[in-house]
Amino acid sequence: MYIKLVGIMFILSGCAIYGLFLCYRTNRRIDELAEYKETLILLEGQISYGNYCLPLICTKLSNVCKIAHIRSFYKNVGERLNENAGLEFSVIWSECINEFLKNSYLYDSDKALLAGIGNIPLYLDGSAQINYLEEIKLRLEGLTNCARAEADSKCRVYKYVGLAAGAFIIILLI
Amino acid sequence: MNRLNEITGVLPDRLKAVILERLEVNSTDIYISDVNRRFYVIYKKLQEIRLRVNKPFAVTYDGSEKMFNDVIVSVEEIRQCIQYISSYSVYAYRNDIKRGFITIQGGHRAGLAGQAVFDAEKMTDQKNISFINIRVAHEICGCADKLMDFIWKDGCLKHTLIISPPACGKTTMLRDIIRQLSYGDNRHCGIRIGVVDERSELAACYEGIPQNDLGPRTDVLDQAYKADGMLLLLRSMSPQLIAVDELGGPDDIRSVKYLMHCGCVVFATIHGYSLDEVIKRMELREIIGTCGFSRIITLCAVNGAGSVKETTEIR
Repeated sequence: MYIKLVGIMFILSGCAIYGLFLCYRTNRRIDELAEYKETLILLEGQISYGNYCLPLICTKLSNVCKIAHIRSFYKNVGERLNENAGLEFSVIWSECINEFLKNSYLYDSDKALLAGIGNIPLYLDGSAQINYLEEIKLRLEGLTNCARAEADSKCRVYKYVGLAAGAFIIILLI
Repeated sequence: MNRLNEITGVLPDRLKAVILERLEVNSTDIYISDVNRRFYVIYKKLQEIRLRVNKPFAVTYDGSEKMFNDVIVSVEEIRQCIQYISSYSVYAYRNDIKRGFITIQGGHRAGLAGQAVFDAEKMTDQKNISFINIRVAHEICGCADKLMDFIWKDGCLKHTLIISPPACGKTTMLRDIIRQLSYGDNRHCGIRIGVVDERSELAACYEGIPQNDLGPRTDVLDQAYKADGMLLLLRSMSPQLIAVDELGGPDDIRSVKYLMHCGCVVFATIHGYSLDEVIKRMELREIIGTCGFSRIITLCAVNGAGSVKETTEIR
């Protein structure tokens, strides 16, 4: 009898924790999208006001990022740009996206949007960079707002479904 | 850091290998096994690197041009080189590209030429850059030693003008004078100097940091128009001396005249062959004389760049 009770507790808590994890993932995705949006605002400022070069901007951004893997991402982009190893900016950017966002909570579609920043027309003047980044920023903002709007209801569903699934499994096993 | 890296760092791999492996170094110059020493000697002898699209790679080395006929520079290599020179940020160097050169780390200058872009008959930019000339910066500390007694004549500084034909070392000379005045010596204290470096030639700032040593009491306003920059420095940094390279337009002259009446000593350079020739220019006549530039240094290239032709004090 006791063993059954312990089993029930484990199954229920396991399913509930999984529900909470899905909740956490949803919120982390929002945080990451918001952080990227913030870095884009800073990137725009550094280009339009400071007229700085990309390697320097990336290094500066890595110092202000709060999320560790985004910090590493920008740091690495800056370092690789300084290597002058014959690679295009878009290649370096997308390689770093693949390498450093492997363990992030972003969806593949989010990563594809971020990878698009690598196609920024660097050979044109500053205003062209700003317009391009503005477009990406708007889309990021759209994704973030959408994710925020859905987050509450999704989280509630994840929690309840987690518990309900646990209860369902218990009934099946009993 | 090996200073040769500053230059080879902006070259595509194939051209970098040519510089590192195919330039000859006399066995008397180095112990061949010492790689760093070899790079140092190459750096010292290297003067220019030229990339011309679909043409052989060329360098000016140890005073003569070396053409590598088997190394034809491709469009892709030019494009890569521009990416490296501009740190992947051509947008940040639009003004420099319009002016025809970008200063890279170490104060070296990459001259660029391509197709001019016009807006209402005014050149606004360059596109399709196909020619790159990297001029290796060699700071010559001490080249103004022989002039310092003249500059400090009677124990005081006066407005001084360096007259020189192009490529005779006037910028190098002015740079060394600034450095020596800023450091000071046994007989004279160092003085506060403001430098308006319109073309980034004196301080060779890279990302705002001077790559040439202009001394511990020197403030640099980089890439500012001389006329505005001189007044800005006067107000903001309270310099005892302001130095500018290549005086030219009437606005420059107006600002110099203003400075001369503000208790600030002015050191400047100007293109010309002699004082007589320079003084014929109407706008310059007003600032040369007892109330203006009263010490004149004339340079020539008779014994190589930086040779002093004559020094004149107008009393």
